[in-house]
Amino acid sequence: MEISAADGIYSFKRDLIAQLPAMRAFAVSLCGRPDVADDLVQDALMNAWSKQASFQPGTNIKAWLFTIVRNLFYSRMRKRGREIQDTDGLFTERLSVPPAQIGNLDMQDFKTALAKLPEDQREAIILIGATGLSYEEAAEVCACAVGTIKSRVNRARRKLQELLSVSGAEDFGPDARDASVTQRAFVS
Amino acid sequence: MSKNTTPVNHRATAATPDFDRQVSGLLQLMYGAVESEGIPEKFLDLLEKLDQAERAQSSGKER
Repeated sequence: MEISAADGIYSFKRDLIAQLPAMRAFAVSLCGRPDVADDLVQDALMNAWSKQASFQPGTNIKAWLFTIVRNLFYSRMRKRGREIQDTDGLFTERLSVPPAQIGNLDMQDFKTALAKLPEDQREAIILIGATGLSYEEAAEVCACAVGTIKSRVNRARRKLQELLSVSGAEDFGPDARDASVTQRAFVS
Repeated sequence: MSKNTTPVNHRATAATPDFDRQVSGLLQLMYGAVESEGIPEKFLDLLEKLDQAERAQSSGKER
């Protein structure tokens, strides 16, 4: 792909820098906390640097880097248990996103719902909905089949729909919201 | 929480293109807000150090 005239070799560093904003955005979207996300990105950069020989210039560096970010995220989660995940305020308090509303969906409500998705569904909907990766690339990042990504995205959407209509709809009765709060209290 | 309760038909949780588009829109806002923040200096410094260390190492080997 890009050959740097200066040193006669492909500039891995330049490619990394170009992907840094996307890596951060993906990391924040995955873990819901900017501070943790930046630690993750730092580790991912060092990791990527150390194995740059295994990257083939001309192939998809974004998917390659996202794979590293994702794998580090899960290995950290396994190490630290749920410490960096599933805390109240995840995606909401620390993640400053301008208040927004699309259609009848409110950003605050949305982030709360997003935090409640199972991890595999959350990462799938982020990869497909936000990062611009194709289903094939997302499948590569998650090391699974394209069909698996599709079904996770689909389940994520339906789950969000369910969660977001609970906060507004009357059909579940007045206890619906209290019940979900109680559930969360038991989980954390 | 949300004030407008335009029903999203949770009952069947059937696929609704409108809802899916709105979800993608919010995800893109969230992602885009971070993506457009620019690159923190510490990451550029880190890459510079890694690069320099590597150059120093490889020029050492050549000699």
